[in-house]
Amino acid sequence: MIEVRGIHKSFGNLHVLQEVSLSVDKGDVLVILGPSGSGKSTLLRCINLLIYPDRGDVLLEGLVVNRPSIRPEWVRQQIGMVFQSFNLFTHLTALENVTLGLTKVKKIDRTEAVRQARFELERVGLADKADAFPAQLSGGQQQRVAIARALALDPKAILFDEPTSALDPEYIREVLDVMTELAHEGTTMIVVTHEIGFARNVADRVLFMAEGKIVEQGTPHEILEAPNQDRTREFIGKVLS
Amino acid sequence: MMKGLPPAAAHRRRFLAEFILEPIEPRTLVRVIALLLAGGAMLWGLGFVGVIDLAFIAANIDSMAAPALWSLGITTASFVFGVAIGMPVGLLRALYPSFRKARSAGPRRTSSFLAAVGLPVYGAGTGFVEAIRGTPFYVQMWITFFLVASLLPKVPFIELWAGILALTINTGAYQSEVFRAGFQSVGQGQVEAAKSVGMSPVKTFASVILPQSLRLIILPLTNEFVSLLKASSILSVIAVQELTFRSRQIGSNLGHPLEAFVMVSLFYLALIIPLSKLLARFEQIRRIPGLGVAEPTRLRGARPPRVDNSMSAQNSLRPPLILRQPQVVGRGTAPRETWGRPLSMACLLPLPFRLARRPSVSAACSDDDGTPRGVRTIRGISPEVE
Repeated sequence: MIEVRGIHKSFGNLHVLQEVSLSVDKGDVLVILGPSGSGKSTLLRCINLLIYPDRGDVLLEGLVVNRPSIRPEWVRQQIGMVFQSFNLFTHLTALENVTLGLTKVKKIDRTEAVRQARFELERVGLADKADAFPAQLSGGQQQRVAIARALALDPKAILFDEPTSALDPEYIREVLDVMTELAHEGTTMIVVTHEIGFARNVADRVLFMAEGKIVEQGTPHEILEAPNQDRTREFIGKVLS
Repeated sequence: MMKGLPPAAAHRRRFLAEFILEPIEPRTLVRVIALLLAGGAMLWGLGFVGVIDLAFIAANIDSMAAPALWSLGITTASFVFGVAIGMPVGLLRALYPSFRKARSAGPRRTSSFLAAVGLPVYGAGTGFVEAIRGTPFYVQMWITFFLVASLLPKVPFIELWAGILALTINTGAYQSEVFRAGFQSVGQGQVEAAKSVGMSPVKTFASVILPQSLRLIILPLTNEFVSLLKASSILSVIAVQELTFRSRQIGSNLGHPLEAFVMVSLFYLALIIPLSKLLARFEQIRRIPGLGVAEPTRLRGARPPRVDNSMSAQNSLRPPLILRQPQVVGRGTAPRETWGRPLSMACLLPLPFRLARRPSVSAACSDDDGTPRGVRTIRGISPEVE
């Protein structure tokens, strides 16, 4: 489904990604762990071409997409993204946040878009907040609207960039529950997170990154309970303690 | 959490009704009447001691109405033409730097034509803005006038066209800065989010950046309009038949210059004050929760912070601002506040005296969902309160 082959990315002198490769099959959940500054977010952004890698290829269903002949909009439309800081459109209600992509990108008729958007909001448990503006919602509710916005476009995969890091502890649960539900429904997901519990229970594979490189990857059990590398063991120990 | 939110559509439709029907606060009405009375009394007093001739004003004031409309018309026309300069130049100046960055970020399809043309155009825009902002309008007007007059010597009403052109160029530069600030104030996060749902840069601009920035710049644009209306008085020196020109005519022809200029001030005030108040109110009613500055709260004297959880507050367009576990972050005499300072006569008092009589508590405020709203300083509360 999604494959990354040996990508490199530098910002100035900072070599953020060094020879990173991964692949995610349809319906799989990949959790990426790693200390801050290890290039996790940059990796996600390279996958949906918010950033272009300097070298290497990004493949979507076997097609190399980071090349000039392919419109980045076409790629992004097929890969949803959920951000750490929600990034809802401030001037639009929850419902309108979800419909915007449908009407402007997929050119779906407005009434049909509203119907779909209501369905997605219902899926994340926010049918009654359709007419609220983002500022009137709690962090957890905002993040669930953001998930609905990503879902509405019926993407082939969804990228989550630390979706719970900006949330008060009391709201983390509701967002993780929605994400778990999505995983069970067979959504392909790549999740950058510090929630070890989520990785353990939901992930099909876990990948540990540090200093722009993939240190190791494997099943949740392999990485979380019996890591091979010292660097991984050190990180897991710190996060769990 | 928020019960009974008004549907968004109703929120948008209802502004007009509120705009017209919402009763004026009695306190506002009293203030307006008091101001009018004070102004009238001052005029009458000046008339009484013989400094100005009130009878002259009464007899001639009606002849100023038409020139006042001319002033308003010239200003409005220039302002509208100015938008046609200000918006594109502001957009250029807001977006070009990020365009360059994006281009250097990776193998993009941005055309090399755009890249080649970009820098000179950006430079020209910046040069234009700096040149206009760095010279007096009076000088710009004369330059425009002589340029137009030498290029098109035979055109009738040349002074009017030159005047409107000068105002347009001037306001275009200032407006471009307003637009630029507006465009830049929409968060990069939202731009990324729009991209991530597959929106093109043009759609992102039209559906996300523009609607938000237009709301945010209503007040600065109002200021610009008011400045422009006042600047239009300078056109009187090239004999455009506007308000100030007319008053100079009356003043010198009939020998009452002071009265003439008093009259002209009254007209400017009558145009500017209601206009800016109306637009401020319009902006307030169109405001969307979380977009732009929170409404300054009126905290006066010893009044305790308002904790309003009543139904009406729950139903209002904005989430109620409550002090959620107010966390005292500082206390003392608060020489300045972050926002919401009410204008009071106390500001005329010497500073040490003011500080002495205004104990205060600074509290970190947040909405009920925990969104920080900054530090609020509440005066008149004894620092012991915690």
